[in-house]
Amino acid sequence: MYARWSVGIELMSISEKEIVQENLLQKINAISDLERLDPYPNYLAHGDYGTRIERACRFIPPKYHAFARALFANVIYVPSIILDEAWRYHLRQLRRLYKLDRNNILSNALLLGEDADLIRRFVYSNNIKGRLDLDRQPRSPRTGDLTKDILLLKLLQGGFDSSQALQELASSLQEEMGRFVKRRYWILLVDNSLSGASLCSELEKIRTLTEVVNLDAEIIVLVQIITSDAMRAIDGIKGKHDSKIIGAICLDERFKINSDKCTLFNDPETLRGARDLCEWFAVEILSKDEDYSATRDLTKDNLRYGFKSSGLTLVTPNCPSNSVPPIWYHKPNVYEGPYPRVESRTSQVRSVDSLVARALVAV
Amino acid sequence: MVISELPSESVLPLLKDTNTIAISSINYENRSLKWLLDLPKDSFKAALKILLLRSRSNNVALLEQIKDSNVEQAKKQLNSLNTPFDFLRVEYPEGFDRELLKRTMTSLCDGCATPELNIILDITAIPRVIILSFLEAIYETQRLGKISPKLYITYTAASKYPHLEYPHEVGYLVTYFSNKRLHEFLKEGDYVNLVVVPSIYGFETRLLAEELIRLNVHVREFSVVIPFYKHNVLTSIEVLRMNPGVLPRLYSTYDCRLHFVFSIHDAMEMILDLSNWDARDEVCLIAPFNVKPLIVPAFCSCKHLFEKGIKRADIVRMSGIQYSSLYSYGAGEVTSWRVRFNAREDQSMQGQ
Repeated sequence: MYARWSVGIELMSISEKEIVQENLLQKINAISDLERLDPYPNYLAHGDYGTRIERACRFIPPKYHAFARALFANVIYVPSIILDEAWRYHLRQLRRLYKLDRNNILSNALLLGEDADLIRRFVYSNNIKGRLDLDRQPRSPRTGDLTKDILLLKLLQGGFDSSQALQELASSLQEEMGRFVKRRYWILLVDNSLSGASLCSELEKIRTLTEVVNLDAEIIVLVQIITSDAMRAIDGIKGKHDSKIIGAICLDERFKINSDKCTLFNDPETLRGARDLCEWFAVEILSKDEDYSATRDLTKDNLRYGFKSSGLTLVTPNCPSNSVPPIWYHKPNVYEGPYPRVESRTSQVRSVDSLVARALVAV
Repeated sequence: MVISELPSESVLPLLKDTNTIAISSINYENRSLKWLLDLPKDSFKAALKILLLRSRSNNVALLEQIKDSNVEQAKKQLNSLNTPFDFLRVEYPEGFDRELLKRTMTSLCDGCATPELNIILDITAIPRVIILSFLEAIYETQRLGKISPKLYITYTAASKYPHLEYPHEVGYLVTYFSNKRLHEFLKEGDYVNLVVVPSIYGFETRLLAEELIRLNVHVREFSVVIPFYKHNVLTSIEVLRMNPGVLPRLYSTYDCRLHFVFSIHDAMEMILDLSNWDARDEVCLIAPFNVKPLIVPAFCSCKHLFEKGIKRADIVRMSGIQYSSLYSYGAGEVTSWRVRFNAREDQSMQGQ
């Protein structure tokens, strides 16, 4: 009637039906294989995957254990070896579609990203030399910083101050901007676009910039992982932007556990159980953590299906909050999920980037 | 050798041309009909050949019934389009004569009145060894220079692959060009370069790994291309699930390089890129176990290696495999490629 699970250290009872119906061992072994090639980097995720699943289950009532294991078995584990290869795929696409290769990309395209690390990974993965040459790429590739520089230049050119130092700054900025903004291609690098919110905001900033300084630039967006939610959000601002989106990994409704089209689980009963587990988790564990109250207010729900109700089981080197919380939530002795997440933002103070973009249009 | 992806509708106007030969095959898979059923109502003048395989008669009577019904549907469609067609019956797998098939293809090419010949090969339901035989005949025709056929490949993906309750009849690994079993092709102490693309069924890559270890060959360069096809991530993940332990084992035994690819075309380019070896005295093997279109870059790579003077280059495939049930459900997207045997990449890019 019952089999012993061979993957975990502390063996728990598990039904044969559970193993067979959801191909539990096969799925967990595949994730373990990938972890052996490229482990999840957070030191809190110690032990093999089976061990971490059992550790998480200790904090969950037994009636949800089967659903928790099925949920964890259906994790889509995308480690750095795959993400780096995604950047190489993007360069292959750029070569095919725009004749941009590792030798000419830095002189023909302006590389932009939400943070400088994305540009660094892209050029390292593709063996592109000269990332820090100031005649080839701007010193800060953040879209927001570029917007600020251009705003500053406009203000200085408007004669707000005529001191020698500011005139020299204006001249230097003008020279720098002249080198980059007239490039034919503006390439925005994005790691994940899961709800689409950040990407839409970046596209808005870029639209403002191109309208102000370079109407002819062709906008290309390279996204490592994009969801159908994000594509819908981008379509929602269509007409306002005209950009080519190239995704490497596309996750559609089949990957959302809160979608009727979810195909992660073989048995509909398991899917329902996994949803119940997420609801229980949001009410009994997550709601008691004040650190997430601002996020709850922002998303206007109890985060049972993750940020913006994305409902994903995706795990990247820092598990995204768009995945369901039982996968990533980690608080010692309260709940220890198998893929602990490091929060990138601990406050909800809004960036001034959008205000800068509006100011740029105004001047 | 260059393979470029095309919008599938761009191949259709060629069917209005009398200098076009289109070859498709109907089997028991739903997707084998898709390309034919999706043809728009138009006046086609191309010579349309429907390949019919005489299958083994042990356990596939039910499948044969489905095939007959699919053939009837295809006939109905082509009659309604007033499109001339005929059947090309091939003994397969038993009694398969690849030289006969190559001669048939060559005579089809030679029968064309002008040097401007287009060949559309819908490989969806054509077995790999038959695709390779067709490619060889077309390559030779082109090499001899009498006519220079333009080759187009189309392929319809499956909607889904089923989990089968009972195992398929597992075959054995063979090489295509030398037409030997792998263990007869390789010798102990050989220096071997490999590119492998694992499939959803897993056993081929495992067999290959076991064989290499057993034969005690020296592996020089080993690349494993792992599908992570962007619009079919779940099916791609099945490849990892069906090859448990294989990747870490290959990784630790041979220090192999892992490459993830995000579309079929990406996998094609990766195969062409990784197999561009310059090792005259070494063995060069390409094992495209994953989806059928990957046999095309494997063929191109081997021919390129032969042209470079590398004699022991070959394609590894499974022989004697028999599916015990429907191999796929439904029909997905149709993809098309133009294959240029005698082009360089930069020329192709200029033409796009």
